[in-house]
Amino acid sequence: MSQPLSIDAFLASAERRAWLHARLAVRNDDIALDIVQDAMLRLVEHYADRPAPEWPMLFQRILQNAIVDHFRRQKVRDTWTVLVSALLPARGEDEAVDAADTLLERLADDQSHARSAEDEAASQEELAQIAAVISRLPLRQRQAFLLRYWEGCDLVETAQLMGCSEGSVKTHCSRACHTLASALAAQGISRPWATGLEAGAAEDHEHD
Amino acid sequence: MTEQRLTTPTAATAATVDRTHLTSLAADLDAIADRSSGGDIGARLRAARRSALASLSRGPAPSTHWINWAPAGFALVLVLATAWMMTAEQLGSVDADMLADALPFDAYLDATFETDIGGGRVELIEN
Repeated sequence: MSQPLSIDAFLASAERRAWLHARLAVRNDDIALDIVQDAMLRLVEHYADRPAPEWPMLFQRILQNAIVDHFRRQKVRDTWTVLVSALLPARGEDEAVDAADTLLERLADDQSHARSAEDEAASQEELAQIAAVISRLPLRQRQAFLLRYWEGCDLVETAQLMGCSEGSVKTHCSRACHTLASALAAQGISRPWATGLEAGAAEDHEHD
Repeated sequence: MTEQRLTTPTAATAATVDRTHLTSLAADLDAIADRSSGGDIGARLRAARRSALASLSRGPAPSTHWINWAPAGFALVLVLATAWMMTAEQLGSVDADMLADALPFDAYLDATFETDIGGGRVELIEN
């Protein structure tokens, strides 16, 4: 695939994927948008003069770092509010469900890909469930899974982007595949690729 | 939407999850991305992109580090100016006293004289 000619075109092509990376990780629209905007700003300010073929990796690195930074800052904030939150009822699970529901509603509202009404509804629901299952994966597993199987990074690239060893990437991918395959099977979701996940998980585990 | 792949999936990637499966998985994830970022989110993403690109046309922002040091620098200048004025005033007063014979003309030859001026231990000769 030919590279976009301008950084504007590159960002336009990458922004929706970047949004979903961030959204699945933080489960909040506003925070996800802030993270994507911050990543765009950093790329433009610091790397606009670099050759266009380098932008995808640079942008992905900035984006993944921004997501991890968000959780680090959140952890620091949580240490200050731990006493207050201990007095309040636990809402973590509710928030996760709410976030998944919001995404599901948005997917269900979208009518731009009209097919037959029944097929469309089933497809939207399945997509929302897939998004919810991926969203519930641990951060590192989700990063490894999406970078390798969605962005098409190889082991070395994924390890560089995540700042870990190739062996760790394999382990994260294997666990993510295993979890996803189990969760999708439990929910009766039959996507063509879902059947390949369990085999992929086993194969990756053998490589470890 | 124009898709932007980092690289073509390699043999190593394809060995884990079949290439056909990869394509359909990517298609599903792209569909989720496209549909969940429509409407308001899409508009906000475009606005974020425009905002980021605007920084490119503005060029690098001027450095503002000096603003952090400005209060300390001002305080230092104030202290030095006050000290200089006090010293000049004090020496001017001593010189006047020497001219008026209130102090001996060789007062500065006394090793402790300047220290004594500061401590107020110099006694003027009353005519």
